[in-house]
Amino acid sequence: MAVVARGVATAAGLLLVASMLVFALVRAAPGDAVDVEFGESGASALLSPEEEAVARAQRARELGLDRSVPEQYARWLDRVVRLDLGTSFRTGRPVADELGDRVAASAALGGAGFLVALTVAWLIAALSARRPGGLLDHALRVLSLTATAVPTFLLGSLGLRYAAEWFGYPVAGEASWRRLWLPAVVLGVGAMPVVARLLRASLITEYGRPYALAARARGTSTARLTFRHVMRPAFAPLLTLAGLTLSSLVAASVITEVIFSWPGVSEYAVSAISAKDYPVVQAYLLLVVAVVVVVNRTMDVLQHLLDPRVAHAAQVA
Amino acid sequence: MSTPVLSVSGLTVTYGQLPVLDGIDLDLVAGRVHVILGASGSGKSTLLRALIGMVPSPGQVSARRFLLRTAGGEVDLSTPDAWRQVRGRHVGLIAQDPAQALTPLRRAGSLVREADRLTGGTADRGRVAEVLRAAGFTDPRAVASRYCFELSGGMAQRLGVGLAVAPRPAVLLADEPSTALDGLARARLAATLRQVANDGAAVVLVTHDVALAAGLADDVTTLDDGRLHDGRLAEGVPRHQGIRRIAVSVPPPADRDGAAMLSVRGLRKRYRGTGPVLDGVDLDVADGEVVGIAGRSGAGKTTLLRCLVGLERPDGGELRIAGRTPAEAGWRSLRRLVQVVPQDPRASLNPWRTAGDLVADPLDAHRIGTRAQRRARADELLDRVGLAGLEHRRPGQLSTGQCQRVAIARALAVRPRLLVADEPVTALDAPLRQGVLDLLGDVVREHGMAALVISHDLHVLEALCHRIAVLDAGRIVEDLPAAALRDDGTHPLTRALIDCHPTGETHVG
Repeated sequence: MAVVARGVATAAGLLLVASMLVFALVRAAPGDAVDVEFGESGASALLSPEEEAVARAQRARELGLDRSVPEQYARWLDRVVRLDLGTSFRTGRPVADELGDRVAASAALGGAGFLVALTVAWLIAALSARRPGGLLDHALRVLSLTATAVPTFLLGSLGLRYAAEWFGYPVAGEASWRRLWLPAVVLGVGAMPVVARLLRASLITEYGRPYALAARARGTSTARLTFRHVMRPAFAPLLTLAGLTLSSLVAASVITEVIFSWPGVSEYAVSAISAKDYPVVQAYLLLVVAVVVVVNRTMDVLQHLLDPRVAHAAQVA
Repeated sequence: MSTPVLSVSGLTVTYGQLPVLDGIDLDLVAGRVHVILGASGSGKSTLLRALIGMVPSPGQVSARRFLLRTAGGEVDLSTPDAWRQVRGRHVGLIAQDPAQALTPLRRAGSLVREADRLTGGTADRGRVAEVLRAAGFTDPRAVASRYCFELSGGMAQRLGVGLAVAPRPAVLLADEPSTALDGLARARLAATLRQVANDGAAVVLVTHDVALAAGLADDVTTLDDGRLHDGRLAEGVPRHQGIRRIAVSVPPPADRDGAAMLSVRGLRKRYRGTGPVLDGVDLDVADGEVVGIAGRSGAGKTTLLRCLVGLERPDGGELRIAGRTPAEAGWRSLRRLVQVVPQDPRASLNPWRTAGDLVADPLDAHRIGTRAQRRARADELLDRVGLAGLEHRRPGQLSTGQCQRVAIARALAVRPRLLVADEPVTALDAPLRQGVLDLLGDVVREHGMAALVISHDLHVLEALCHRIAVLDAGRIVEDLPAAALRDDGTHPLTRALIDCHPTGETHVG
């Protein structure tokens, strides 16, 4: 219970500081939502300068942009505390509705990408740790390095092209399970190498420990040794990294979402930033912090379950 | 003599061009304990690995003959594949450090079940309980459900031995099984090994623990230069492994009430979820006095040490160093007075720094002298501990004994008034122990400082200390002058410790 309370307090503090920073930064950039609106709509061309000034002032008043930045911040904070994220400057719809549709899509993509990354990393690590320096280890290292080196946009565009040609992959359309697998693979492959390299190193360390030797001396096969003895202690310390990976896959996979026109939050947030749609940007930030905190807390709990020695050590220290 | 269970001849193991074992001939006979002695680096570990078919990868194994005779017939072990059916089932291994040799994140029962299934057992609940009971656990169900990392050292040892012995292997290998054990556990291990041999297995005991070897050996061979030589436990090797008594000092200060260097009153400490680890410890160390703390594993020795140097905050009681409590003086200034010689020197030295840096480190930390003065002092100290000219070596380039000397030099750097040594020679091979003990005795005498030595080895304490206190379950149960302990010690634990560390000589041919 105390852990949960502390988690919420940390998240709230983090959010407060981060929101202030973003609030200040977004507003420090030249131009605001009114400029964007008038520029895009072409209204400036039709109005006399005086009329335009009046119209702009009125619009700014509607959006609350005529007040000082601290005042705007206070008003925003006041609403958020009452769970009202405000309305989008651009569409006039409640931000909660706008983001809500997209959160599910992002979570599905990030989650699927994470599963791909973990599965592939796990396989590669288990195979290459068996004979460090062996042929398979080298081959898999090359594979991992290539996966790191190839930029997501390239892998994504190529993947899209060939998948469309060979498997009739639907390039555009709603978020659907049929469209999920390709971006998930692209995301997963990008995130896999770091996990694979660290897990490999961790496995090699564990193989060298006396308990692994003793297990082999009792007649344990290599496969059994890997999966029943060594994997759990080797993987436990990587949970923190896994958590960070998952957070970024869910909340910040902009490039993949754009390339696959996947209607997720990150893609939406980017367009909101360029349109100076402040309420959306703020809400997005809130979401990212929430994801990071929730995922990290979950990983902490998982780590305690996976490696009870952590709890033990924390107690002694 | 009956037919050997395992016959090896011409066993050679090479790493690259280097032969580690060079034509070993070995016949292991059922019912006998074969002791193999050898200095570190003589290839003992490689021999054991070869005898269970697990020489690590660049090693090349060849043998003219490598035959195992089982009830089912003869098995030729010269190919790696043949070992799959043999390992664990016909040849078992007891590892060096039992606590490290159990998969930490598995439950004890699960390990037993797995081992039993691998060796063709029923692996049901009854069998698990049977194996655990045979290993000496009175409540198998409670043990079965515990994670291996939660087991105490003694329990881990029983489980490790139980796992190796349960399938009744024809050959049981034991690799320095006593190094990590306190005296009582060692005695129990010796009894188990004897029993296994009497039950019809050939036992191979690789050790440099002469006392253990002397009590068990039917045959003795010595491994040297990759070859086995007929050996005998040299007559007159004292049971206490050659550790001599060291004249530590001019008579210990008679005036106990005078300036006590260390004074501990009613020190208490407990960790969450455990019973009290320290349960009211009273202890005094006078200036210039060397006091030993003896006790079994788990008695609270290390926790006591951690409290004394401020690494652990006691729950209650009073601690005074040179008359001042930490609250009055602050740990920063007290740490200049108390320095520690750690248990595992290699683990306590940062592998990336040179010996000179490591020794100068406390001087840097306390900002004593100029940079040049610190370096000069470090060189002088390295010279003193017999490592002159090695100041640019890193721990990886030093032997374990040399690492311990670096640790001692580092502890002396700030001229402490109290030296605390935690199992100072446990990590060292027997032949190196005397040298390090001599050095400790010398520096304590030269600096006229007080010292607190913690060990489970009574011989070590007798060699160094004026006075020995016995710690059990978080309390000092006996506190006597070292010379009087054997005669006047009355507490059962003191008697047990004395029984496990006999004086006197062995004569095993």
